[in-house]
Amino acid sequence: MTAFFQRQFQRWLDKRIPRNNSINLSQRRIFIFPSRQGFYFIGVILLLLIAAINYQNNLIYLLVFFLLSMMNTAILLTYLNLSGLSLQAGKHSTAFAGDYVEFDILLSSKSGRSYQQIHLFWPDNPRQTVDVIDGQQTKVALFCKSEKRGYFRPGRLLLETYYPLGFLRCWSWIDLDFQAVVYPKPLSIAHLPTGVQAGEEGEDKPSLTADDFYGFRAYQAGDSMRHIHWPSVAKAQPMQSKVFASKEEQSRWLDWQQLAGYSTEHRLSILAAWALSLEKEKAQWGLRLPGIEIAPDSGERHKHKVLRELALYGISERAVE
Amino acid sequence: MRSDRIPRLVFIWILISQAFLLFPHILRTPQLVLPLYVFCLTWRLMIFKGRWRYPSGLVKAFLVLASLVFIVSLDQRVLSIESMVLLLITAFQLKLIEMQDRRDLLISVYLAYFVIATELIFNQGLLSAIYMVISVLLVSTGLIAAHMGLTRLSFFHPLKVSARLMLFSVPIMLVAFLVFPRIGPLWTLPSPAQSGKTGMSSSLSPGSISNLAESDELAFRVQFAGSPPPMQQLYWRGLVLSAFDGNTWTVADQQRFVDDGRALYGDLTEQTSYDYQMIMEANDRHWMFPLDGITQFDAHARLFDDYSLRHIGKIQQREAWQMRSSPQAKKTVRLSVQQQRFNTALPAGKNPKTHALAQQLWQQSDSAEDYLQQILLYFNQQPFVYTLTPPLLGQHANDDFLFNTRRGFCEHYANAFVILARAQGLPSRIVVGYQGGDVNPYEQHVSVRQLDAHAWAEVWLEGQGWVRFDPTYAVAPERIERGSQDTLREDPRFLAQSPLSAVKLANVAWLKNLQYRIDGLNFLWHSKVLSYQGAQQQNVLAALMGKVSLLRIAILIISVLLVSSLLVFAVYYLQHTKPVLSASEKIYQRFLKKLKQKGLSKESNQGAQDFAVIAMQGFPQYADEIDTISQQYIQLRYAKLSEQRHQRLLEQFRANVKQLKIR
Repeated sequence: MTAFFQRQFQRWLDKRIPRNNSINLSQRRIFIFPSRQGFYFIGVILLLLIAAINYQNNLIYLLVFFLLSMMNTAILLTYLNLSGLSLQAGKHSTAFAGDYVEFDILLSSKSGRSYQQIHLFWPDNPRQTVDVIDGQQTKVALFCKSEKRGYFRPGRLLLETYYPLGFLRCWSWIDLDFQAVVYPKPLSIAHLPTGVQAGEEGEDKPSLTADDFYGFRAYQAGDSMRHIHWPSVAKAQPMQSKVFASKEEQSRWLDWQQLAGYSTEHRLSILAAWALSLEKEKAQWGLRLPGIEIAPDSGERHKHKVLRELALYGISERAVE
Repeated sequence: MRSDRIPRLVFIWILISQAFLLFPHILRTPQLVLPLYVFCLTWRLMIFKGRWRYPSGLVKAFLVLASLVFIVSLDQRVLSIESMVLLLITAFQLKLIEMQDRRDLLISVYLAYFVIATELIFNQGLLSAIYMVISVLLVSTGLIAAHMGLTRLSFFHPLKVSARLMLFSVPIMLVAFLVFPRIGPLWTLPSPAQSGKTGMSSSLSPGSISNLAESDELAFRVQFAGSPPPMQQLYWRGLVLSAFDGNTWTVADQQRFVDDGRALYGDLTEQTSYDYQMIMEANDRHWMFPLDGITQFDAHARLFDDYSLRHIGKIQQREAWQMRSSPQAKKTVRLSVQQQRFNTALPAGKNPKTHALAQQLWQQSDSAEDYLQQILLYFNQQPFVYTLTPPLLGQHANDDFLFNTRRGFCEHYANAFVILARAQGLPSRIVVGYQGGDVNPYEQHVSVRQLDAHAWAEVWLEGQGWVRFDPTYAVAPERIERGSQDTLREDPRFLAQSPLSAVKLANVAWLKNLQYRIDGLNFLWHSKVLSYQGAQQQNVLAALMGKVSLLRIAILIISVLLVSSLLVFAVYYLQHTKPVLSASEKIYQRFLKKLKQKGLSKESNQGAQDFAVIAMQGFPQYADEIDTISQQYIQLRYAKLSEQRHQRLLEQFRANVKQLKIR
């Protein structure tokens, strides 16, 4: 029953506050209701009213009506503390499944007003509090816990404020157009196979230790073309040559096929764990998934490229919609 | 909202508001509130400094228990309002030392509202209203500071927001106050004890009235519909004492109350009547003090056949009543044989010399009235003295007074007069109440204080009914004509209980004037605001909206809601349409103003550079200064400077603009 209402509410919200890259908080998107403290405050007012009636004390009546009227004014001021605020989706990070993804949100207001103590959070995730002074753009980094690999949309963000008195809660549920990629959670349940040569899976080749790869140095005339670090050339960086401890170039492959017997998700997780440890060893390594091959390389960028493939394996772009 | 710590700035505001809130409570019960406050404040400051820790549960329990014991020892009645208030204040103060996070802060705020309200139970004067407003302002300031971001926050900013919030709230508060229906008490709550108050006691013995002259405490205020009657007619009738045991006069047990006051008087058509509103201070007694000759009165009162008016319950808070009196009306009630006997009774064997004098005077006179005049003449011609400090009297008190000491206050003269009248079988009795009062020239109301307490006599005469005789008038006519303040000022006992009374300074003209002004303001507050209810409410509402109906009240409330909401929005939106100027821009504006005073103004489309050239041509003798200022301004606005360099340049810029003096 509650699930039904929740769905209905979501559908209604989707219509009222559709997903967007930037959202301006107008009156139809803002909700307001007394907070729990506000209900206590109303309780206090009622008790004082009883005192005023029983003592027939006009001065206590004045106090009661003053507090009541302040509550009313606070409705307007609390509303003003959210209305006119613009939120824009900024950059976001990637993360492994089960970790927090960082999303940057940019707050600003054309009104030029100041906004005090705006709390932002996704349900069950840490909250951030931010002030927007004179409507100037303010960035806030917000975290949302991811669940499984693939595309990740954090869902509706709760935006709330209690300013000025704390007796009223003004809030909005907004759906910023965020889509992060969540990598498979690394699982170190299988040992990294030592030295797997290209196209020769299963064959026992003499193993090469990772220490063989030494690092980079600036390209010098006479360096072997095979040792040029092509990805940096592609990025129009100065040409670099790879230097190896042993003269021979070795690269290692992470292959889907090596993990026959594991489930798809486990395979991806294990591959992710291997990728991380190879990257730590600064090795040259590549990835083979059914239908996908990433040539051996190294570096942060390469790692993310591989992890992204692992994350999106078998997931079409539309699957999250 | 989680258990977040309270920032320092918020805490300072909490401390300020708490000190202010507690101030009147400290004045009322210093013996508990003050030491506890000093204790809690010290502890708190030590926590602030990091020297002490928050109290443990054991310490808290001990503090609560100790305060409880102290409160009970102060006041035996555990459920009295005073004890409950002290309990509340103790909790409020102890909260100070255990306040750690926002939740504690909110609890302390809720307590604060009760602390304010309890003070209003004890006092409702104008000062209390000011106390209420400032308290609410300060409490909200703390709350606002707690809910405000701490970026770029100045100390007074929360106060400003709080003041604005309150100002915006005034219209709706006023409307709610005007239209909210005033219903009677739902149940009785304990009222503050009136033990500290002086007031008329229900019996009269030598000294009981003169005690009251030591106090300038207000008894009641009266506002007449027209001009007030002359001073000599201002006899505020209270208790009627007809039972006498030789020393003390008390109220007789058997009186009946009457349904229609007019039945007790003779022909009223020829009499001048006065309509007035009486605002009586709480006195914890039943007695009301209407102007003599009361004919119409409040539904909460009963008129008895001795012409005394009593409130149905004790008067435990300030009350306002509408009344009508005809001071000259004849009190023509019939006297039964029993009443006749009762009102002539004297204890046997006392005051033989008084009886002898009565006999002597009776023989000299040819009628009862003449006899009573002879008594007054006797007081007038023998060397009697009107004084607050009479000597003690012997066993035959009245003999001693009449022939020996001859010094007394109004109760002595009334007593002697009635004994003399009764000695010759004339039904007579003593009336106590107040006489005169202070007429405020600004609000035309009469303030009657305890020092105006008075006692006089009434004698029942055939064909006339009860007739008032005031023997004090025979001794000291100025007391009746000019009032007690003028007459008794030099007396050492006068106002002995009110050493700082403004009444004492009344001969300084401007002080007296100021006192009248303040008193007038207080009177308006009492009569218009504090006693706003019932018929007064009906009248105001009728004046406001013609016919009073639910629909009209709803329209009134909604329109005020709308207008005040619009006001809030207007203020908030308008405030931010003007551009926010940076510090350098503000200083540049000052520079432009200086040039403008000499007739050179900058067009809005002119750049600072272009304007500098024109200004240097216009004031070649200041070319250097103008150039420097303009260049600095351009640098400040458009150059990318480090924070430190920006500050330094800004200071130079400010100094240059300040020094520039164009003649």
